[in-house]
Amino acid sequence: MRLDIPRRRRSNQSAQHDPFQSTFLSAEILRTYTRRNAVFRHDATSTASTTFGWAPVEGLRTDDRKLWGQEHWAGRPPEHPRFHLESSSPSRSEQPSPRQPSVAELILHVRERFKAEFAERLAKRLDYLAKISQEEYPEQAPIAPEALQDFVAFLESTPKLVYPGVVLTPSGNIQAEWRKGKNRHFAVEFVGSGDVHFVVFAPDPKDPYKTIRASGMATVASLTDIVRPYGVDSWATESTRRAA
Amino acid sequence: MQRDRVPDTDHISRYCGGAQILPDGRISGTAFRLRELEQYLSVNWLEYLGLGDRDSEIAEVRRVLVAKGRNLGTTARLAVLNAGVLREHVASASADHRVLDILHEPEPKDPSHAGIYGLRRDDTLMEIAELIAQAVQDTILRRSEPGCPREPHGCPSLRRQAWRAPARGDPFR
Repeated sequence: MRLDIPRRRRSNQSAQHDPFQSTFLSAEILRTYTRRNAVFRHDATSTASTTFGWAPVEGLRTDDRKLWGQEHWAGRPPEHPRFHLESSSPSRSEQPSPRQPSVAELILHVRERFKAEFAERLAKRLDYLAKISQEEYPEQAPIAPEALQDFVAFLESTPKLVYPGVVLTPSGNIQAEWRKGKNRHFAVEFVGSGDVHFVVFAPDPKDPYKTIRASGMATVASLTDIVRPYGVDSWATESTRRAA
Repeated sequence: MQRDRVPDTDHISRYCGGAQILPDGRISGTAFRLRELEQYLSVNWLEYLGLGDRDSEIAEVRRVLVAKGRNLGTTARLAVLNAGVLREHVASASADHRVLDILHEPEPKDPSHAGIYGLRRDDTLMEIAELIAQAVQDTILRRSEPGCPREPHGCPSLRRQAWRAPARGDPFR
């Protein structure tokens, strides 16, 4: 996509150049750019870099799996400058932020691009939850896209996980549960921003008749490392389940 | 005002939305989370209704919820818990031996209304909510008529029958 933004005047026109007009024009361009950011993120083949000196993320395509990865959405790496406009640097609110995929887009991603065996089943479950939240509104908030995005990113980064029970919290966050009895229970609430709340009920390794109960907050990236010592793998992942 | 404590032998019901029901029909712990600004979990004290049998009590609770303007989902369920089992289970299993209080909170349109006190909106909320979900005895479909079989649930020692109904309304389980 090509942005229809007028190019800056060249040197032969600089004699008539009004600095106030230039600042105004830059602000206008910035606002336009911000409004178009959503489209821009999806079609980063734009030639805007030649106009603004902006470097798009290399190789970014709409169907790129990285587009859905958490590290990608955490923000553009610092070596990619956002703007080189003459006016003062844009305020934080004016800076373009990564576009948040909608719930429908995320479910489509699960259905079409997710590698797990249960992709279709999970997509149907998410569709169902979206429908239920619509029916029970306002008691039930709609699915929070940030939470769903984190959930999908977590499943993609942990491919051995078996199909989880998926429910919504009243506020619309996604909660995934892996359970094999009362003392083998692992539940994670994805609250968005890469954070999770989790709870683990697991047998005590020294005394299997007693149950360890642990809960807390973590980041999506560190969750598996945190719960692994509780033996969650033994009932939440496929390979160990088959081995058992 | 001194509020009555729901006796350990009595039962309470909690309305659970369809999005909080797991595909296998179990109630998830998310149904027992405090919402914003809530001080306690709203429940209904079934024996207070004085109707004699569970089906009539559930039917009355459903009627009251509708009268209060609650939008009851087609796949929603009512979870039934025994007050004593709930208190004992949470106190013995929670890391901080949490003591929950179940107090009568009558409302003009809902005389059997009660509240579960003792939940806190902090890191422990998820654990306590999961423990409450473990203590659920029966789950009853929102749309079921009196006489519809209930699903045995939660504590095995309290199961009254071995029959387990399919989770109706969710074809994708």
